[in-house]
Amino acid sequence: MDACFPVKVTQAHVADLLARRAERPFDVLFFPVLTHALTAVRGCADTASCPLVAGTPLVTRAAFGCDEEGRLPDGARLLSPVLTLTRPAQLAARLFDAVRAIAPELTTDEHERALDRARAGQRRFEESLEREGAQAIARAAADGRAAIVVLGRPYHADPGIHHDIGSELHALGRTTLSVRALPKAREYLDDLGCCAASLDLSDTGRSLTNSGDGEKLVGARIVAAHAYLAAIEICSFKCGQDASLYGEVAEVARRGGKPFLPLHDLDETRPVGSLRLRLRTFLDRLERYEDALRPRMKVGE
Amino acid sequence: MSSERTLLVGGLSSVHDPLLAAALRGCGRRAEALHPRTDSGLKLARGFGNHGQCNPAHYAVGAVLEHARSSGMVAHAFCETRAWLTVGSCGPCRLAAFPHEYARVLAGAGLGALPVVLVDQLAFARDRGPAAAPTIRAEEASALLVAVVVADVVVRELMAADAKLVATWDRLAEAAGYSTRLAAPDDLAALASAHYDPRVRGGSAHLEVGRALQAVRDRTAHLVLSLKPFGCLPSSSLSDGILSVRLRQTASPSFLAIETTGDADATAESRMEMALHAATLTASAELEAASADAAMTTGEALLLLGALGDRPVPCGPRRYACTAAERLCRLTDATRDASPAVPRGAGTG
Repeated sequence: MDACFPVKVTQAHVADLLARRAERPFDVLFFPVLTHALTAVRGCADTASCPLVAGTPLVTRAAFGCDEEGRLPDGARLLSPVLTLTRPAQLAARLFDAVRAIAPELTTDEHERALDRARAGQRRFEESLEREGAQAIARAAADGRAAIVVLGRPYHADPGIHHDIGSELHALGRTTLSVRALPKAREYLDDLGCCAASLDLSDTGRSLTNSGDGEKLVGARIVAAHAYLAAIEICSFKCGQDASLYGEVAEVARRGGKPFLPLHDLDETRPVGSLRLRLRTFLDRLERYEDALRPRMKVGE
Repeated sequence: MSSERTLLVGGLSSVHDPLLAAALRGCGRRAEALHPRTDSGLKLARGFGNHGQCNPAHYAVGAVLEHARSSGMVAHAFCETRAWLTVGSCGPCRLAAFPHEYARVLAGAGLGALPVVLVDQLAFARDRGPAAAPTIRAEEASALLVAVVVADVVVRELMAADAKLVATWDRLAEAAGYSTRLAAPDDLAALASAHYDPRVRGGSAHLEVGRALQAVRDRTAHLVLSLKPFGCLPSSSLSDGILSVRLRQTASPSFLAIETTGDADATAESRMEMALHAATLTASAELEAASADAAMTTGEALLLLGALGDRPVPCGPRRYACTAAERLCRLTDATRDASPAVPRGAGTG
C-alpha cells in the first residue's frame, strides 16, 4: 500500500500512542470516520472528505489487528463511528450510539447538552480565528507588507506535516495565515475587497466534491482579490486531491502578477536548506511586488 | 455547424467505446470510436496535465490527442468538425475531477476549442468547452444507455446495483457453464462492511474488499490481484491497506496489488510471475490432497480429469479453489455416494 504522507503520519501517531500506553494510559482511542466536513464554501457538488482521510481509521483498524468491534490485541479500543458533520441529526444519533458502546449510562439529554456545548465552542473558536485573521491582514496592509496565506488542508496544522513553514516565515518577519483563519464573514470580505460571492464556486464550471478543494480555491480567490495577500501552497506527497487542482490554484493565486510559491510533495524529509532558499527567494519576489505596489497606491490616493 | 460534427467516442473501455459509437450511428449520428488507449497517448497527455492525476483521465484525453495528430488536420479544423463524447469521471471516486483535466490537456495541446460532451453522475450529457457541443437527443441517450449495459455484460461488470441485471448475468453465466455467479454490489458491500464501511464512499473500494472476501469464503481463488490505475486513491490506499492485512490472516488466497503506470511493465510482470508461482504451488498442494483422498497419484488424477474433458465446475460450495482438485473431489464424492460401503479415504492405493 502506498498511501499519502498524512495518512502514513496518522498511523505513526497511533503506533506512538499505543507504544506509550503504559506511560499515558487510555482505554479508548476515538478515531472517527469523517465522511463530510463543514465549510463556508458554497456552490460545490459536495463537501466530502478525501476518501483516504475518511477511510484511514478503517485501514488503521486492519493494520493494528483490531477485531470487528475495534478492539486492539492489547485490550484498548479504537472507536471509529461513521460521522457526517453536515447532517446534524444523523451526526447526533451516530455519535450517541458510538459513545453508548463505551459509556452505557449516557443519557440522551446529557449527549445533546454536550453536543450543543461542543458546537458553540467550535463556533467561538472559528469566529475568534477569523477575527484575528482579519486583524492580522489589516496590520500587514497598514505596514505595506503582504500577509502570506498558506493554502493547505486541515491536517497541515500538524507541525510534522507542514515542516514548520509558518514558523520559518514568522521568523523572517512575515504574517502568516491558514485558509481557516481567512475571514469569511460578509463584513470582513467587504474590507478585503471581496464580495460574499467569492465563497460561491458555482461559477468555476467544476463539479468540486471535496471540502478541501473548495477551501483551497476560495483561499486563492481571496488572495487574488486583496493587494496585500500572497499565497504559498503546500501539498503533501501523493495527495491525489491536490493533484487535480495544482494548475487552477496557481493561476488564481498569481493573478495581478503576484508571486506564488507552490511547495508540492512534502514528505518526511525536511530539506532545510532548499526549503529556506525557496522561501527567501519567494520573499525577495514578494518585496519587489510590494515595492511596485507602493507608488501605484500613492497615485490612487 | 454542431450537427455536422463527428462525435469521437472514447474514455470508457475498448469494448464500450465501439458499442457506444455504433449506437449513435444507428441513430443517424456521425460517430466513431477512438482507438484503444495507449501508453504513448498517456505520456503525451501527462505532458500537458497536472502531475499526480490518476491515469484514466490522461489515457482518455491522450487518445484524443493521438487521434488529432493522426488525422493530419490542423487544430482549428479538427475542433470545428469534431466533438468528443466521454465520461465525466471513472466512477464514484471524488478524486478524478476529469472534466477540468481534459480541458487543461486539450488547451495545452492547442485543442481547447474542441467541444466535449460529458456523460457522468451529475447529468447524462452536458457540454464543456468553448464551442457548443452537439446536443444528445432522447433516442440517442436511450441507445447509449443500452450500449453501456450491453458492454458491461460483455466485460462481466455491472455498474449499478440492479438485481435484475445480476440475475440476467447469472443465467447467462450458468448457460455458458461458468461456475462463479456475479455477486450483487449490495451483497459485496455487506461482506465488506465489517472491515470497510461502504458509507466511506471511497469509490468502489468496498466492492473490491467484498469481492476478495467472497473469494476467501467461496474458495474460488489462490491469488487476488488488485489492478488499479496510477493514482487511484480508493484502491491503492484503502482497499489495499485492508486486504493486505486481512488476506494475510487466511491461508489462501494471497494478495498482489499492481498499479499501472504506463511504464515499468517489467517490474509488474516480475511481481506477477512470483505471485502466480506461489498460487500454482498452493493449487498443486490442493490437487495432491484431493488425489490422496481419491487414493490416486497426482498423475493418475490428471489423466482421469483429462480423459473426462475440460468441464467447468458446477456451482455450489467448494472444498478447493483449484479447479482440478475440486472436480476430482466431486468425482470422488459421487463415486462414494454410488458405493456407500467404501469409506472416505479408504482407497487401495
